[in-house]
Amino acid sequence: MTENSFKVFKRIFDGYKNSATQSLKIIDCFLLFQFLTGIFQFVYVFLVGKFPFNSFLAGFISTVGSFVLTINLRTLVDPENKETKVSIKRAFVDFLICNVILHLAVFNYIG
Amino acid sequence: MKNTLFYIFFFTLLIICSAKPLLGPKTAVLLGNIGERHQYSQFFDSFTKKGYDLHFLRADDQDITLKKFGEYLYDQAILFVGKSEEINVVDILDFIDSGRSVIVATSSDLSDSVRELAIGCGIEFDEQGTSVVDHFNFKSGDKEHTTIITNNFCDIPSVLGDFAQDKKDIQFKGIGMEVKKNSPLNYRLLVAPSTSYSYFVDEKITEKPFVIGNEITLVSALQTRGDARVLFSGSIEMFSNNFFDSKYGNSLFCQEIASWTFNEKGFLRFRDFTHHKVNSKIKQDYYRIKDEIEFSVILEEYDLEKGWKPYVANDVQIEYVMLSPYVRQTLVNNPETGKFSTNLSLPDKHGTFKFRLQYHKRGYRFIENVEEIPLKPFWHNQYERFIPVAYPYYLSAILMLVGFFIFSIIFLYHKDENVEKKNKKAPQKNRKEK
Repeated sequence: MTENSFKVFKRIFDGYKNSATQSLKIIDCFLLFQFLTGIFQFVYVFLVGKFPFNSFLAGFISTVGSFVLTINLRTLVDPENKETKVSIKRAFVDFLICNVILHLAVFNYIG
Repeated sequence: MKNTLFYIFFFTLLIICSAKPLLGPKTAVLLGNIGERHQYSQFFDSFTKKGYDLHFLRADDQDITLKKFGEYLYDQAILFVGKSEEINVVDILDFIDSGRSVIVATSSDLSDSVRELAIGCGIEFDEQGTSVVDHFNFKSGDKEHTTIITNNFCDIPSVLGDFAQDKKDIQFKGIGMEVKKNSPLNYRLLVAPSTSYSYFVDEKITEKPFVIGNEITLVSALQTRGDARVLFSGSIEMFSNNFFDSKYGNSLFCQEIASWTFNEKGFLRFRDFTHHKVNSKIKQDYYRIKDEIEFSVILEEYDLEKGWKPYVANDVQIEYVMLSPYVRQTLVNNPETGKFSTNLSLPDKHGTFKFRLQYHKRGYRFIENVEEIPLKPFWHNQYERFIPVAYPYYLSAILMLVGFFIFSIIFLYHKDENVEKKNKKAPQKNRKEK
């Protein structure tokens, strides 16, 4: 049983390694990093309490917002994406500007 | 020679008796018959000794006016109206509303106008012709049992004064009154014994009397919100020389309650209602939430001999109110200066607040002062910064930014090898399908 599930996971992982381009893999690493940071903050607020609630919100929103923007970039950059045809440059500039605005708001609110 | 001695004696007496009644010495005394004043000479002498200037007038006289050209001629009034004299109720109620105190004493033979005056002050006398009768506590030798002996006094030290140490029974002969128990402005100073009732003396009792037992109030007082005090007594004879027997406490009791009525005791005033931030003397129009404030006020009590002297108490409170008090603290008293002060910590909620000093102690003048001070929230740059608890959040936001920079550099400048391989494979696939 476990051997079978192990095989399935390996197959998925190999499929991912073969099909994904380098850029996608880089994006996926960044996504994972953001996800873990968000989880860490959530667990921290669970343990310590909500005292500087605005700081918690700012930190959490910075991770979640970055995650969303990075997902957006991945969707636009992915070669298997047939619906939206946007050049990589345009996608990256969108990503850049949105991140600047996000971090501006985050650092203002973090107090 | 004798004349000069007399004048020297008189002037020294004047200097020693430098007592000053609060509003002024002029007192109108309304009697049914001016000749009656000798029956109450001991009571009236106690006033003249204190510096009051008594003007004896006939109560029935239609020409007496308390007011001339809009100014009051008298500062206090005593009404001994026990022989059904008609008085001008409207004038006397106006007199009371202007802040001037009145002592009203009546008897079983009271007129309708006196009943009306009493109702205007929240007190209801029994019908004309009734008396307070007690078959168990009456003065020996009294056949009708209408001269009753009682010792149910109120519990207000500022009214009783020296009498509180030396309580003796009081003789009372007259009419009873009813005062509602939960009235905030009326005080029941003397109450009849539980074995008494109020009814017509000669008639057989066929219905329930108006008041019975401890509900019968014999002497009551009203303290108005305009700082006037009105004393109502159902018996004039209580003040007479015959009843000022040394066996009973009438003399001291009547003097003490009369002096309370004329603002000689328990009359407070406040001044210097100040508040400022701790360690700063600047008076501000507004405060910020969670500020530390120092508040102080000076309360003084009037004394007949010494004038205004500092008030000593430990139950004065200050409130910080917005619809309901958010902060309420007892003030700490300094007995020498009469200064009451404390440190307050303002609440966490912003809005329009006011400092409220409300002191309604029984037997003392009501002290109320309200000062509106708004409370403003934090400015954007007054919040706490760099809180240690929040370091992980700062760290994560910075990491996000750093990660973003590193990621964007890598993303833009990496070399993609897989793409070339795929481009080589794809055209071959197409050929095979064809």
